[in-house]
Amino acid sequence: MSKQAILSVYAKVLIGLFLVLLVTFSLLSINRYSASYEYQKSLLSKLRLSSQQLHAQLLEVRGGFVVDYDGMVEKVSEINNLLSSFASSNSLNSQLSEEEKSVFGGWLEGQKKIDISSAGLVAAQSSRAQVVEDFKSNFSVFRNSQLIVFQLIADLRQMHADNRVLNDDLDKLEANALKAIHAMIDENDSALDSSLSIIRERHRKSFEDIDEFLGFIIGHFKVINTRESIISDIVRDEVVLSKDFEEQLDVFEYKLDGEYHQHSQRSSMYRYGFGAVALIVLFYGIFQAVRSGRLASQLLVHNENLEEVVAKRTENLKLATDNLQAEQKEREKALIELKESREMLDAIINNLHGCVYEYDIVDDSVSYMSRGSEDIWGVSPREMSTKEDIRKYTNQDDLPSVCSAFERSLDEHAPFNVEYRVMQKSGNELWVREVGVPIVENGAVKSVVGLVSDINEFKKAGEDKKRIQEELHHAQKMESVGQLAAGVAHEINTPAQFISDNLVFLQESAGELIGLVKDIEAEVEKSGGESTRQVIGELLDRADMDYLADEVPQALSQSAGGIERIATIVRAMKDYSHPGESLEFADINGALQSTIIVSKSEWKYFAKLETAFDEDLPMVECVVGDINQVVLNMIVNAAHAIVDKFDDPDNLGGLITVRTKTLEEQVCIEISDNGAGMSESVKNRIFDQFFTTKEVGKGTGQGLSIAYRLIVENHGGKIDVESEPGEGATFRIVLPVSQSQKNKN
Amino acid sequence: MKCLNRCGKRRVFIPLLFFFSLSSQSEPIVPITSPSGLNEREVQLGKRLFHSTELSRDNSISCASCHKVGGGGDDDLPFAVGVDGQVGPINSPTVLNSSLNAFQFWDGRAATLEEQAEGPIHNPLEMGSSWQEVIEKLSGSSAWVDEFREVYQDGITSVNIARAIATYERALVTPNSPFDRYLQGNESAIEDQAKEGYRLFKRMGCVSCHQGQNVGGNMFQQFGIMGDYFRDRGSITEADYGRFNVTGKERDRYTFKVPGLRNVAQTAPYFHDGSAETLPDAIRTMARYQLGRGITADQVRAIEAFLKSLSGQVREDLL
Repeated sequence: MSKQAILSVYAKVLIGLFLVLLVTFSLLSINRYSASYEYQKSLLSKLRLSSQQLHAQLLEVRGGFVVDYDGMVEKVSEINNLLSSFASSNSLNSQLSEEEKSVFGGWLEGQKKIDISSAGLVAAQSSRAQVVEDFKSNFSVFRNSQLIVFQLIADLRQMHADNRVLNDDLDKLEANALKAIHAMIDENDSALDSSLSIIRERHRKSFEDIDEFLGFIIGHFKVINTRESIISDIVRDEVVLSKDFEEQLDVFEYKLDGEYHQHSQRSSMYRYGFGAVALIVLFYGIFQAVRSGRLASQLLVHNENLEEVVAKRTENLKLATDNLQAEQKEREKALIELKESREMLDAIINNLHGCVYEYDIVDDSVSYMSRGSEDIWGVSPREMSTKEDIRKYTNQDDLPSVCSAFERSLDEHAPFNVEYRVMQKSGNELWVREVGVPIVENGAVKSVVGLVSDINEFKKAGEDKKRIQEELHHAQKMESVGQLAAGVAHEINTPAQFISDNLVFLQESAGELIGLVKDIEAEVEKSGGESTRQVIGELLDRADMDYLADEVPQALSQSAGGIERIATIVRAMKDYSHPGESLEFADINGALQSTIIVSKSEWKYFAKLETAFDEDLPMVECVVGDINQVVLNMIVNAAHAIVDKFDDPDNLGGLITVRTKTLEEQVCIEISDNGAGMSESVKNRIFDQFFTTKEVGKGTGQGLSIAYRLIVENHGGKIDVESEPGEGATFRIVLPVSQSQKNKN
Repeated sequence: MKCLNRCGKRRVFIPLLFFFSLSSQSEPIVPITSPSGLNEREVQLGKRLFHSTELSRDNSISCASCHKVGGGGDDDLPFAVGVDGQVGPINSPTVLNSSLNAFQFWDGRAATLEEQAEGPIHNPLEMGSSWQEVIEKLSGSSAWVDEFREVYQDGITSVNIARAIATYERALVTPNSPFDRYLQGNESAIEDQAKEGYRLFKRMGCVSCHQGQNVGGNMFQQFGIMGDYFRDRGSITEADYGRFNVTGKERDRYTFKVPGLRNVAQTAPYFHDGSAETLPDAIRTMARYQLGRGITADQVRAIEAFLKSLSGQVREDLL
């Protein structure tokens, strides 16, 4: 539909609504007005009735037919209530008029404005109520006086029944009183007065209180005279006021009717007007309906044609959609496969022990970096996006070789393989091997795909291997040195032996010779001539005999001692380097002694060595050479520990103690020192292979691990250490006395 | 002379026709009808308010202080005593049957009981307070607030306080007095003396003003019609001017609302100035100044007996 058409529809709907509202409003207001009008009419008639009733009641009281004033009071109050209801409904009326005005605007202004106000009625009622009050007050008094005056006369007559004169006078008084009250002529008042004065004069002495009596009578007559006219006036006023009130009610009703008439005229006008409009709308509606009917049939024909066309089109569309759907399915399948292969690739890459990357040569940036970058460089893939990033994390010393390898690869269109160190973000260094392949497209390198793998362990292992080899070499050297030493020792042994023998001989001989000289000296002294003594003495002095006598024995003994020492060392070395490899019962204490001697050079300068051997130590079935080796290592370690602790080598505060104890079917060897001691963590690792606390090259870390192996595995013994940092250490070796027992265990 | 006697009596008959016609039509006094359609909750709330001293400035005086519901509805004093022991200018009328009066106060300045309630609260000689003060006090107590809410949607307002008190007062009628039962046909409800007293009450003219359901209370009358009561009594006060204080009209000077005589035996001392201490005193004064006649001691006794028979009972739960 065109915009215009839509607008016109809306406009019509709005107009229709507006009209409907208008009709409803006016109908409603008419209804309300009618209701209000009816109500006011009923109030007016009630007011009229009550007013009439009040007037009737007043006359009834006046006429003596009604005795109490409750009825009149009620009526007055009733009229007041009706008037206040009337006032409020009246204001509603004028409110309705206002509403009408607001709807129809100034059109109502032209209408004659009717003044409707109940204020006049209220004022009239108020005056009337006042009159009623006056009536009640005055009438009571008047009525009483009328009665009482004759009662007084009658009472007096009774009281003085025997006084005939008084009675006659009273009769006359009564008659005159009656005339005065009921007759219209004023003359009778004078007759009354004369009767009163006669009684006063004639009967003054007859009874007391005559003045009081007469006073009362006169008073009552006064009341009767004055109040009678007052009451007449009041009643007349009341008549006038009640008439006036009712007239006002009539006027009010008349005005009300007039207004209502006007209003109903207006409302019929509205009704006719709206009826006419409604008819117009109705006709218009019919016209539209007919038109739309014609249009509808035209539409039907067109519709049929359209449907044919539509059906054909739909068929074509369906075919097309089917094809599309098939293609879609194919595509989806392909996508799924792609996704799966992608996932597989991702899985592989991310589980590689290394990082896969692709570096785009054209863009000069990283186009792909796998999660392995976390393992290699310790950063997320996102943080390795440029050449600079990669260089940043490469060890600067290795960088040149890496770069040249890379460049060469690009030039030669060949893969490259380079090992270098990486500086991880955390600061750790890591050995990696990078393997890269340039991707060539149309003769130019498009990108480089590479794998960076962590070879740190291998490198370390390589280094360890190198170290082990070095130590092995060193050990072999030591072994050959040992063997050399053994050979030398053996060679020394023989000459040392005969030197020792000769020295013994020399000592004996020297002793004898010196003794001889001494004897000769003594003999000469005793029995020699002077010249002989003198010559002998000179000869002795020239030879420095005293000196020789002291020194020669000493020198000889020292030499013997020295040779003895050489022999001991040689023996020990022989013992040491030619141990038996088989299990034999050996004297542990002796073995220890030898070892101690052999190791002397290691500890002599730094510490004292004390022994505390158990004399009753049994023979132990063992490979003595192994035991010697172990103990030697320990003593050497002890010496080194003491050196660590005691800076001053001359201090000799260091003490190494070697003990042996006999245990039940076992022996215990303890090597204690008061050196630097070791911490808990060192203690835990002390028997590990390659573990050493010494600087590189100074210690192989093998000694104690070998010791462990020899004692525990070869001998079934135990070996452990006690130590406190700074307090020294005690190594304890426990060996079973007999190996067959070990087998038992 | 004999003829005159007879004539006299006959002539007397004519004015007496008025009188007899009075009595033959209906009695000038009618029995009290109990009020209907009173909201009991409102009555109870009104009762609590009536007995609540919070209505006075220093919380010492309640309505019941001067209108003791169990003691005839007044305070047995010539003049009322308000806050700080101040003595008022006029006698407290009874609250009993006050709903049957056409006007309230001696000078009739209040048309309804609701209007009347406002008077003592604001009168500095009586409760010396104000609506605002009273409302504040009552609003401070949750008990009052809750009770008002139950009865009135808008809670504690001056209109509602007055309404509640007035509703309670409307319930304070005293039906079924011996005389009412006599009027309703029970000949043995009152003694013969009282019956004689009623006859005299009518014949002597008392009933001209003291008539209706409340035996008075529905009209105004001058005090001292047949004699100058105020001149004879002396020490005239502003209170003595009566209705003149309201209308300003000279003819209303010394004019008062005629009080109702129901339960009059319990409301000594009598008159607006409390000058008559006993019923006989009052009866004699009335006879002298209102009726303008003498009255014998027997007549006084008989009327007294009649007046005593006008006392009915207050509803037990309203005391």
